Amino acid sequence: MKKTLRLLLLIKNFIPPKKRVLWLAIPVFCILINCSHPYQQGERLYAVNCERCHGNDGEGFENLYPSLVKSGFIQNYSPSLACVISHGSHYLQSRQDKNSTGGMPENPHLSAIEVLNIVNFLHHKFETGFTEKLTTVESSLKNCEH
Amino acid sequence: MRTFSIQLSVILLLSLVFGCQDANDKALPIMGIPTITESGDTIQHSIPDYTFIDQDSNQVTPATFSGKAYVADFFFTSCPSICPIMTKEMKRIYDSFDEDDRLMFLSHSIDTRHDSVPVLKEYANKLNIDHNRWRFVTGEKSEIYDIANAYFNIAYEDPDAPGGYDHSGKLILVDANRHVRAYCEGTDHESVTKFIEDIEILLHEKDLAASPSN
Repeated sequence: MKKTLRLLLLIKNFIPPKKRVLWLAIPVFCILINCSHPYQQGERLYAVNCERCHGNDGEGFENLYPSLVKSGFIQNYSPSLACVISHGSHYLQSRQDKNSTGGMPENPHLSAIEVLNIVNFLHHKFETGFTEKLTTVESSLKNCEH
Repeated sequence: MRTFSIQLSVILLLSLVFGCQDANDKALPIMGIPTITESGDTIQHSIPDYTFIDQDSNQVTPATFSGKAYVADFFFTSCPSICPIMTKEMKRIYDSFDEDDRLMFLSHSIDTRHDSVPVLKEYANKLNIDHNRWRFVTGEKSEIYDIANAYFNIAYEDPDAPGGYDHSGKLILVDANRHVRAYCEGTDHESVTKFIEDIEILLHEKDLAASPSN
């Protein structure tokens, strides 16, 4: 947000004074209605793919749907988070509890970019300070053995 | 001024007559299409006989719910679409009637391939519920799909549906006489809130506990 404002102030000098108000009003308006954070697409993907089980605030539900708030995959940064999102319980069973009958479905419809958007939205939402790169997600997804 | 006070007293009188019905006086209808026999008797829609197996390998029949009301739904444990919300709403109803033994719960799995007894048991354990009051059942696929109709639900296999099955998300309230008395959309928070009020009305019916299950 701050960076965007600084950029706008810089751009301002290159616009003729008469047109300045109009040229500045449009982006400022867009920022006000839209950009509370830069992970809008991740937020929308979370709402469609994850929220029904994990809840609006990632709080989870009983022991059935795990809370994401203290999830090790998110809090301790793990490139495997992409695999969990993409392959669900199949991936978790191969790595952790083989006897678990956990019910997280696969999400094969999500592209690498969409997985990346969800990962970055989660890191933003739970204030981990991490951000992920597309190349890392792509190489993680290639190596999710399960 | 005088006409006004007459109007006012009429309104007051009407509101006394019609407005003072509290929850105890309300009665839920018996739902479904009744059948009329040749002798002219009306037989109300009721839940037919069934035999299923629950999460603790107990047989579940109508006798399991003898003298009780119960809430029924249709789901499967790996359902990615409407079931998580339905289960959360079912749990909300369960928590609303915590420790009220007059009300039980019956969740039918429509995924008879995957939802075995151990899978249902783990699901029930993770929900932190009393296994005696909330039965998760599996059984003959055709019997479950057929009985869904009696509960005003539909269930069928559909490879194109999320998770491989398609079904409706109605929650059904059944009384001790196996009659359907109320239903709601299990994915609609408001509808479920109204449904909880309906359950309270049913539990107020004096004869609930005394009714024989026929």
